[in-house]
Amino acid sequence: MSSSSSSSSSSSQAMPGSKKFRHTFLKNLLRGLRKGGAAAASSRAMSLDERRIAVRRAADAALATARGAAPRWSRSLAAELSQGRLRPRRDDAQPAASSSSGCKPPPASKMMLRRIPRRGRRLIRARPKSKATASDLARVMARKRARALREIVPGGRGMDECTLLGETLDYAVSLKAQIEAMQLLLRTLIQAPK
Amino acid sequence: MEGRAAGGDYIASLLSSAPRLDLGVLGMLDGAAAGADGGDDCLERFCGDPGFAERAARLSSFSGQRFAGAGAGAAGLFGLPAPAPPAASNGEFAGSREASSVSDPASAMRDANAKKRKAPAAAKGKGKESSSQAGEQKDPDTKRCKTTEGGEGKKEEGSVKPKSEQAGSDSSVEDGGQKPPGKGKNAKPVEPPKDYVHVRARRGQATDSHSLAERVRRERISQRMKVLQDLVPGCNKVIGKALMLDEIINYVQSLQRQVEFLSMKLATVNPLDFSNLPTLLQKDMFQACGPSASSVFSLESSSSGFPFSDQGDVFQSFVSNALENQCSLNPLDLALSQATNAQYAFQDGTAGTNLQQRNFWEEDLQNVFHIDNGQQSQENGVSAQSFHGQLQAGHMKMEF
Repeated sequence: MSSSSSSSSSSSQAMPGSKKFRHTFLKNLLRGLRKGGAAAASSRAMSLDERRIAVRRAADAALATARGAAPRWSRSLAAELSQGRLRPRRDDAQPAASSSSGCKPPPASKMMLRRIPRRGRRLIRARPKSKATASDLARVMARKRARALREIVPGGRGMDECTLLGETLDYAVSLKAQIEAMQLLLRTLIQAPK
Repeated sequence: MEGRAAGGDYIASLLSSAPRLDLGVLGMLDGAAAGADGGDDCLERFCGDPGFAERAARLSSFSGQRFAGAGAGAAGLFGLPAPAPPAASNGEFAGSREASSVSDPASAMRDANAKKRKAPAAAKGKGKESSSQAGEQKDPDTKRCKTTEGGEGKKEEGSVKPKSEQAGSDSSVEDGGQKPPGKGKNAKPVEPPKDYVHVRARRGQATDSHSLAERVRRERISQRMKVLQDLVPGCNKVIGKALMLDEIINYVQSLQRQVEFLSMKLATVNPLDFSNLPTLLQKDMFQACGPSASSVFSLESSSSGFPFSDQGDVFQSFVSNALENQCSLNPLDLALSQATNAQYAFQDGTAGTNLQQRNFWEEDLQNVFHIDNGQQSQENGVSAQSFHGQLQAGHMKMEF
């Protein structure tokens, strides 16, 4: 039964700890860099910022593709990329880039799913605050953290807490693998002329 | 659903080993981590479990069952008629029981309950419920887990009677299943896993459907928190859900920032060309990789048939690779360690001829670029909108 479920999964399934994942990721990254025009072969002169964005998107796309469609975050990351939305990063001065690429609002279903935790929040506030017991505080703190985690993990909006943790785990491991692969690539590229 | 199940298999298999790590192990981890780097030793201990890989391998076959059962289990719990099935056991724990030689305390506890399942009366259940409702809250705080485990080890309520015992016992009951007491008997026979999730109610807890489902959910959450705790460096020092989530958030944010930084660095590499990369590699490796390049390609194209039954090996390599990833600064060391994993036959074949780690990695990179140079002519000009659809289509293409 598990084999039947896996045979229908995408072919790009690779566990982030494996070497095959790194293979696949690097391959995808190079293809994406060429396509994005960040490679030297492109005649179009790009500013540093543009190149950085292109590299970033190529890296995200390579990660999502290499990981496959099994985890939810990879699917939602791929969807975000195809929409043209840039995930909010350290530069908040990116309104021009994101709006010009035609970012669409998040799908309506996700909006509705977001409402559910909001309703829960409103209920908590509506209760008369008699005593802020430690458990109440702990619960509120945990909720806040869970919300923050949802913002970080792609596709975290539509997840319950349980799957959120699982997706976070997978996402963290994949990010680590991505970072290592990119570091290796950088090291190889920089050492080349010497 | 299949995609989710496939991803869930991976996580479930990771998690299924988690019940084995009780507080004692974590204490050992703490002690070990005191004198060394935090995350590395922890993962080493974590992965140093002798039965880990074996367990993960066997559990992978159960995990598909588990997810199929989890959905039906929730429904089954709610609409379960009065006579509860006698040999009820949680699917995943049954798997862990069978796989590990050391009996899991949680599963052993459930085994012990199987005998006494028919004994407890409904009245006793109601009495326990009312007593349990007093002062019990929803948060799975580990401290509270320990304090309410006073009545452990004795006989327990077993039957799942949702309708009869739903006397306003909607208030959640403390979850004592996170670190179950180790007083379960070991010599219980293994019960065949049922087709839906059976959850035992513990002594002093409500047995209605809502609290049971909540308990299942809480147990799952705590399992994942445990695995995350082992993954995120420095997380084992903090106890408590909010603090751990803090650490996890910080970790993921730092990883994302690192990706951003690395992409910036990549963008600054001015002559960003990939043609001179193969020249880094040694000539003999270049020739040795020639025939293997095609095998890489065939391997990757046939990866659609990558069976999940092999996931045991994948987990083993995942675990050891993750461990190496954290420990080694030099990825060439990682390559050498990966060479010892019997992961891909062709890699092993070429790795056997390699004498040095550096050659192994370079051959790897060589394979990547070899394929890539071959694919330069074929441009996949598919639009970005089909990106998502392509992922589902089962063929690996990358579009923008």
